[in-house]
Amino acid sequence: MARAGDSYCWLIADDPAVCPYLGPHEAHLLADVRRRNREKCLGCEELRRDLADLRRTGGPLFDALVAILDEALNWCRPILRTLQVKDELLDILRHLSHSLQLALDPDEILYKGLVAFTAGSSLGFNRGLALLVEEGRVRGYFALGPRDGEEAARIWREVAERGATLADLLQYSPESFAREREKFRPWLERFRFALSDSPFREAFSLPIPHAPEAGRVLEITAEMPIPEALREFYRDATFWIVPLLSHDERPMGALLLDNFLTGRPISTEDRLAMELFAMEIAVALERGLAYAELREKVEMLEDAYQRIREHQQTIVRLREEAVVAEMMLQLTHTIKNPVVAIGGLARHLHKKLDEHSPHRRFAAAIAQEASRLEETVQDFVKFAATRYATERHPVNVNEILELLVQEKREAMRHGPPIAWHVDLAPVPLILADERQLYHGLENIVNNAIEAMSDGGDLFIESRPSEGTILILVRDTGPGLTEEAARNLFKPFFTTKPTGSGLGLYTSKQIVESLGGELQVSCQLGHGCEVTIRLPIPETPAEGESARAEPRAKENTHGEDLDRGR
Amino acid sequence: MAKILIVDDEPNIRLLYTAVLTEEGHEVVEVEDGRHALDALAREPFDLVILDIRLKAESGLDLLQEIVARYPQIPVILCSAYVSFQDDYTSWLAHSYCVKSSDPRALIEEVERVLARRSSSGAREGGP
Repeated sequence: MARAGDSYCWLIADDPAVCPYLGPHEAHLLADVRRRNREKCLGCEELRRDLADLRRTGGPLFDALVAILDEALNWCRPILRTLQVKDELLDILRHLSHSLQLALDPDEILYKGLVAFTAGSSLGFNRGLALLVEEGRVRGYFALGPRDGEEAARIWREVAERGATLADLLQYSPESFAREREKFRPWLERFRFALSDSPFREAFSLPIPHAPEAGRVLEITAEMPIPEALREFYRDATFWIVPLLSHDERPMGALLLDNFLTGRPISTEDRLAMELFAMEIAVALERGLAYAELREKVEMLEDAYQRIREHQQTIVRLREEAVVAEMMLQLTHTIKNPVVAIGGLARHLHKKLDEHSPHRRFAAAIAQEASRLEETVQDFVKFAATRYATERHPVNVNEILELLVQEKREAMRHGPPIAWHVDLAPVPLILADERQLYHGLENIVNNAIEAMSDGGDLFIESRPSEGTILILVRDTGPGLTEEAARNLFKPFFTTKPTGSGLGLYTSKQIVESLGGELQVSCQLGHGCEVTIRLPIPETPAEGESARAEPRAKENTHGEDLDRGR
Repeated sequence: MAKILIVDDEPNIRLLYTAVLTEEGHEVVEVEDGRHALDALAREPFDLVILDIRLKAESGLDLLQEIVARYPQIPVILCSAYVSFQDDYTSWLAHSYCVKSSDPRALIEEVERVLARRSSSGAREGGP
């Protein structure tokens, strides 16, 4: 087909029959011969043959021309190949970018990210591994790709047979994520590294390269020192680490990519593409992680709000109950005295009346009915006492504090390091509801502990002072701002995300119900000190204070106290 | 046989206690408030006081403090319609407690117990 009539195919315009290499959308090349020569004829066998003919007839000029053409062709081929690769990379990046635009789930983001790194022929890594940074540690999170050659052959064949496009491959489902993750689970569970472990230390401190072609990619070869788990996983295959950094250069994770089957090295272009892909994934990941954190915070707030509602209802109920309890006690008192008199006198009458008197039966009936009424009142009082009233007993504040310290120390064994300084001087007994007072003091100690999330010193002291029992709880936490300190006793004010804001408010109510007072002084940067003063009950007579000591309860009428209940 | 002072603002309760304790062979004086009680105590010696915690115009506990301060040798049984009165620390000054009941046996037992303890301690003669 080199010759067509008197001319050559590469000289003829407007004849669809002259060139079999024209595609359906390349009709314009029929008329534009120059362009057709450039795009189609270069490298065409027909042209070669024509040139060979011409050389036979045309002498050395043609020899030179052929050599020049060959050289030009050799020079063009890699450029064409590069263009093709870049075109594909751009296409993947465009797909990835589009696909990640609405993604908020970190699973989905990492899945799609690794698909982008492993799909196609441009980067086309054999395998990808995603690690995440959590609480200062690097943790295996997800992996995508074949585990061995056999699996690789099967997967790649399937993809080819399905004719899957990149858009198909980027389709995410939690099931496919779970399936891939399950495949690598034993490995992922072994991948637990410190941020300072090599090679992560190096990967996360890669500088923004001065030379634009370097890319933020760390190549790990067989002879470099890496953690044992990674060495076992990669055997001696070379792999590359691309850090995933937040906008402020904080390490969020890393992608590890390898060609353990094909052994293909990466080019400078590849490095730049990897960095570009990683940036796209990192932006999405940071957004996804922030969203997850935000959602968690919202849930915490909703939870806290729910508990505030419950507390509010409890307070209203307690207030109502206190009123009811007082009413019930008044009522029973006014009923009980007459009933006791009626019943008692009827009994007496019954006893005094002659055994044969017809009135004796009446007296007995009155006494019996009075007893029934009395029992009913008694039951009512018992019910009211257990249901509504707080029970006050002589209590030793130090015993409550000791119990509280013991409980909290035990609970904080695995918490931040707190040094406990407990100094309890002997104090007189006071009348209080033990559980209520414990609860009030517990709120204060809890606040102090929570203020020292990084540890610190906790001082708990008690001593008699100016006719009161003085209780001090001091922490070395960050303290509070003036505004926060002013708001401390407002119900539902809290500086903690999970607090109800009722702790100190409740404590103050309890202390005040005992006739005491509670004060807080805070210094920003120097912690807070809670001061409680509980009144020591006025002793009935000078020098009688011993009665308020425990033995007062154990004296002659101790047994009567027990019997009376 | 002992001399007992009953302090209660309810006349029918006084009537009942007087009847029951007289029956037991005791000599009983009854008064309705603190002023009359202190008058009686100043006037004549008593072996025992039975005191209602809730008097009309005053607190039985104030009177209890007064009696204990002036006559530490006289035991006091503190009475109330319900048990919770024992939570008030001032009530610990009393030597014994009794919850009011139409059944007088508890009161009688309590009186006997306090009197027996008192005479065995030898602080003072049990009664005339």
